Amino acid sequence: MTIRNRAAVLAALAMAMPAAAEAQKVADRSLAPIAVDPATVPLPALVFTEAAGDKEGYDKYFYFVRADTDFATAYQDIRECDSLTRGIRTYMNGGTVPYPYAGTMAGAIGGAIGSALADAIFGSAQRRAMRRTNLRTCMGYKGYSRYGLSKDLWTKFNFEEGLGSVADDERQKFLQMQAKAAVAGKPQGEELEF
Amino acid sequence: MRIPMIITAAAVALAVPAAATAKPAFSQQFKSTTAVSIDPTKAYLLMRSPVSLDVKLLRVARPDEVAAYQVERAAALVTARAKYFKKLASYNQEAKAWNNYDAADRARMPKPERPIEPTEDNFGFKAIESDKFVTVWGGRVFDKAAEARLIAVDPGTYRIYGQIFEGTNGSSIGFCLCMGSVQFDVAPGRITDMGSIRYPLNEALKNKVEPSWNGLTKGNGGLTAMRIEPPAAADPVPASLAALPREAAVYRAAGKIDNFFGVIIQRLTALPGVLSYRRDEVIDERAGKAVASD
Repeated sequence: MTIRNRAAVLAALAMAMPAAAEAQKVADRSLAPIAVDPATVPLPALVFTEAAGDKEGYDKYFYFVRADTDFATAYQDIRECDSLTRGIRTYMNGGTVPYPYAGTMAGAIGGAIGSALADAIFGSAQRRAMRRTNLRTCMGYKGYSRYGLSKDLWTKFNFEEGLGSVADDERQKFLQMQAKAAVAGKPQGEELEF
Repeated sequence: MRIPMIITAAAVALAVPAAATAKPAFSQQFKSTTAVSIDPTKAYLLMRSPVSLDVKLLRVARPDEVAAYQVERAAALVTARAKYFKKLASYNQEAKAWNNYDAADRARMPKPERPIEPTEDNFGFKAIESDKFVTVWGGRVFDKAAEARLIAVDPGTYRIYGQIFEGTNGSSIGFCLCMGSVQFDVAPGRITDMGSIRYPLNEALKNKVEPSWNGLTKGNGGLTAMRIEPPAAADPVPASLAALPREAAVYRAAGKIDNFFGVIIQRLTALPGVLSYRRDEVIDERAGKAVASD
């Protein structure tokens, strides 16, 4: 494989830059169950009339649906995929090692400066694109289907994450609404490709 | 001048303390011009691939390393808690002073932030995996005809972690097999033949064909960015390795694992008789049951 081909392949794979883990950072256990009463979570509006341009946005603006799934399962699935794409401690090493947050590899080996440089090179747009790709892949493996939304409706219960980071309480509210949408029944729209 | 790599390997090995001390994992990849002799304390991996991409392997921590890690983490937690109590004392003083400010000063001065107490549950610490990754460089081909790479590593159990290129600036590009892969044991003093690493999507793109393999197609059809072809009798073996002790890798399923490098998430394509999936559940086909997440 030529260097040019290799570069093209690497680019095609999409870019990822590890976020720097702060030394001694304190965070919640990534996947410890969070008990939520689904009745307290608002169901986002999902019905819309497709306007010109909406379809072109479905690569960015979408939500997941799976039949025969309860809220708690959907919420846990979405949290797992969110956690994986953020590169934070998601799994518990079979329960043998109690380290809930280890950050990314670069953080673990002191790569904070390198990450900042990487951000400068790759930028926020690539980070956001990678998050979308990872959520699609992860939720696709879990058997969820993907449906498009208008940007207006999507922004009511979703967020993009580039160089910045969404606060955890706000994040969980969004993820809970996404779980609510995931179990709300079959949408009227067309199922999208993963 | 041809220098037996074993000399270099031995020198590096001497310089590397026990794995639990957070030094980078030992690895030494052979160039095509390097003479090979087997160091009985090292393990050797033979990997074929038609594509020159870097493959990241992760050595699974041994029980003694897990125990040492837990001791190290516990000690770090004690230190962190000591620091916390000092910070807490400072905070209490600053908060008391801030509370005594008049309204104008309070508006001008930021309210002191109470430090978070490190506990067993929330304490952040390096991952035990941090010193156990090795990279098989795709561009360092040992035998062109066989599309073979050869690398010396520490013996142990290795998991195929993903295809990751690490930049010198700390950036990482590629994908992890975070949602399912395989692992295999690597014995000292011999070559473990990993077979071939294939990139079905990448190779199809290059060959301008629709990706498919073993009845699988891309997307939800089950074909992913990487698949394994276990070693077969007909596989070419570099002539210089033909007389050396060599055995086939025996793959078994490996569960989900963290995305340590913050890259694209993938999983290894199902491998008949070894690895399958039930939705996102990783199934060990040999044992006929699901695999726990790492």
